[in-house]
Amino acid sequence: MNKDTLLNDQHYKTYMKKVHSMISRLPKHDQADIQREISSHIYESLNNYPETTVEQALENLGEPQTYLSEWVVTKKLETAAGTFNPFRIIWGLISGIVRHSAYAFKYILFGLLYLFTLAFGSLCIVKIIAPGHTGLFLYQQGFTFGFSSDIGNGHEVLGNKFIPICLFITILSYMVITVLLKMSLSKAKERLF
Amino acid sequence: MEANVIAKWETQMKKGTLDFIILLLLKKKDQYGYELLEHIKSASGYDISEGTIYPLLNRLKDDHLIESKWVEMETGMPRKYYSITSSGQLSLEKMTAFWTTLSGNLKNLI
Repeated sequence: MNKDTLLNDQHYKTYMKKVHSMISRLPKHDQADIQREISSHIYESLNNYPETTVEQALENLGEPQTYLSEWVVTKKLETAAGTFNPFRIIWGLISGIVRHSAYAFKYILFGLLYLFTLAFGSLCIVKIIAPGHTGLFLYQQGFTFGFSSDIGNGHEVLGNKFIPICLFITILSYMVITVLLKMSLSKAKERLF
Repeated sequence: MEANVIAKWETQMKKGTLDFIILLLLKKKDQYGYELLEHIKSASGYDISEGTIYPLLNRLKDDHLIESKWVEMETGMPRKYYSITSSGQLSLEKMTAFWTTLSGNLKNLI
């Protein structure tokens, strides 16, 4: 089969549309590379076994969802974690939860850790809005860190240092969670097959 | 029940040996995806789903064990050729040593 016949084949076009929808969130360079490689594979498959039809060749290759889904989610998250961009990481985790059910629990767990970090970081804003009720309050029995509507006879000890400390812990926690996510993704990649 | 156990064991064996087989084949010569797949099937007898080889090749690339380059063909579509890196050669030497010891020991056991 020649190249033009394949490129105009309806089954091939439908298949490549499915591939495109799977990889549309990846960087343009990766998208082009994957599409090119899949096209090349189909072409070689048809020319190595001329009796094979396009439909058979596509069936042998498998549904894009079965072999691309896990890899695309992992790749997207890995790229996002590498940039430390919170929006890209959250978007990657959501995709992981929706498209990659086998690891949904793990992605939900990481999502909760990021949510906890965000909540911790938001204490800096709360401190500006309600400075008298936000801080590290020491009581006769125990302490409260964060916002407390009833401080009673508690004594706030951090004062103006609360915001920098809170910011430091938030950033540190964000970095640690992201590094853990990257480690977990590289383990997930080892299981890809 | 027994068939299930064997199926799982076979899958684990395939997973564990495919990296090794790919590196061994690429050590012989640079190959494009489809060619490599055909050689994996004939060398190992593994019946693997064709699409699954690409995530695997990408992982090996990310681990710097192999690299790839596109080669334009005079007729037809361009091919993406994979080759083993120097880091891949080193890993392959270690894998080969491990495999030789393991297979020797198992042979005695069997």
